[in-house]
Amino acid sequence: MSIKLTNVVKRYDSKLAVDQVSLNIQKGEIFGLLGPNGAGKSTIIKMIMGLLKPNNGEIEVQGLDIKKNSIEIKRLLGMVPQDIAIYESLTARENVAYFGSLYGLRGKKLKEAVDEALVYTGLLDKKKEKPKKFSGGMKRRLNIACAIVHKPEIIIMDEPTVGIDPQSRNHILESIKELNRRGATIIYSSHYMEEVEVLCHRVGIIDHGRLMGIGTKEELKSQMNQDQIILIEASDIRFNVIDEIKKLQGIINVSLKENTIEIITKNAQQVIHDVLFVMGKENTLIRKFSLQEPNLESVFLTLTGRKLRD
Amino acid sequence: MVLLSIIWKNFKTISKNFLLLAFLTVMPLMQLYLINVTTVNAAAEVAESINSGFVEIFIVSRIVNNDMLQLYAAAILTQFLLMTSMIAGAYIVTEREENTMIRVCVAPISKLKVLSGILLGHSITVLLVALVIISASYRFFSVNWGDSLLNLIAITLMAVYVATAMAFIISGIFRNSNVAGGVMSIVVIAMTFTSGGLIQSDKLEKVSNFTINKWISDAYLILAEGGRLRDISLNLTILALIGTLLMLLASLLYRRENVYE
Repeated sequence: MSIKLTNVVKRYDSKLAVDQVSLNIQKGEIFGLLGPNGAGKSTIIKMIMGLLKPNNGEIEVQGLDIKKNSIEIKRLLGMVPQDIAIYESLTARENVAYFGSLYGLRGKKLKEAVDEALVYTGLLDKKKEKPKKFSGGMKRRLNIACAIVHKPEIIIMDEPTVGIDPQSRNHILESIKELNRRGATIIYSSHYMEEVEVLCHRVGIIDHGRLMGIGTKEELKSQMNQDQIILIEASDIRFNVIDEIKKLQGIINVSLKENTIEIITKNAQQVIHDVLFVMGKENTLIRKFSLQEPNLESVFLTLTGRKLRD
Repeated sequence: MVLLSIIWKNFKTISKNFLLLAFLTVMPLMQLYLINVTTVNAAAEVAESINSGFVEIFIVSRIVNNDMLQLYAAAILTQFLLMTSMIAGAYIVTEREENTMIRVCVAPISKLKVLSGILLGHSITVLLVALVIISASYRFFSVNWGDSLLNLIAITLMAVYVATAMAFIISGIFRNSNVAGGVMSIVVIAMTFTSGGLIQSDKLEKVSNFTINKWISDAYLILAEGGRLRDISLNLTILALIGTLLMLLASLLYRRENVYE
């Protein structure tokens, strides 16, 4: 077990930010914390990092109690904060070296670790430049380099891709996978559903400070007893086609959006023959047919009753 | 070794701000130059305009006005030392604004070590600023700073200690570096005024005992008059007590858990 939270509670004055959260993060996994802004993700991360003290509950990192072994635990962790945290007045190399030195790295070891972190984030050729000349994506990469220079066993990333271009985002996501392949346990907090879906082995869904669901993506999706959506893109769609489909047994709702018919049903396999029959009878030309699988977005919607970006 | 890294980084950050350092060293020398011109030189000109037969009047004038220059030199050095220390202390607010404080707080080091590193890093900068002001004022305006470099360093370090403690408190209260910097400047100027560093007034005499400027500049004057360590021990003790009290207050402020925000 890498990290264990047991009935953790955190209050800010009267506001309950984290409510009885218990979760286990396994060694070597990428664990996603998914939730909208203000859900309590950052508070959970700050408690694991020792920046905030829980009002109740226990937090253990690799078997060490955070209340008694704060300094030892900090040595194991690397944090990529949500906001870019680098010195604008220092060069990229000086930034990484300074944060490396705070973890006790010195001399040749420090130099090698700094170069490795810069190579890893693709910034070695920019090492003598100051970050004020960097793009948003490059600053984000430097933000990561500063967090991994001491080769932490557990890396905690709090929304590390906010506000960057797709190219830099892909670079960062690939870097995270590589860090994990090298053995690091990663906690990845995000409100970008697609990132978590692509990256994480297991996901914890947080809303209003509570852990609403936890498991692999498949486990979470299979827990959903949800409706299925059939999408049919077609041309020459007559109005009576929609009415005919609505009358079929097992259909919950049918809507037309431009050239796409969206059919909501409990059982797609059961209704599909009847739907195609109706459309064939009305000479509708089908261009594309797809069955929308449940995704984390729909899981989130079912668990919390709202969309992630509401 | 981690402490050394913090000291070095803080020293480097401030010493890279050439404009600020130039301001903090040139401004006090400019002030001294103006005082020198308007008091000492003016007195000399008056004296020289009088017939050389009245030699006694000429000598007395120069002594009085040289004392005045000494007095102002000590007050100006004190003011700029406090200002430098406070500006350096305000970098904590900049650290919070740049979000780098959060990274320092998640590193495996105690808050005490972080604050000590900042304090010591700043002390080097302020000592250098003091060294420039003292040697330039001695060279160009013949200001006497006594003959004990160690005692000068002792009082300067104590000034840094008290001023940085004040800066820690102000940085702990205000979240914006501009506001914090402004408040610090106002505090320094107000203390300089109250201590009699800008104008000499009997009314300010008693109030001045409650300002740190008074205890620092008095110590410089005692050293200038040939005083030894024991002669400034009261000043050092009072400053140490004030500094420690302020540091305790600052440590209470920095004990709160969201100190990095």
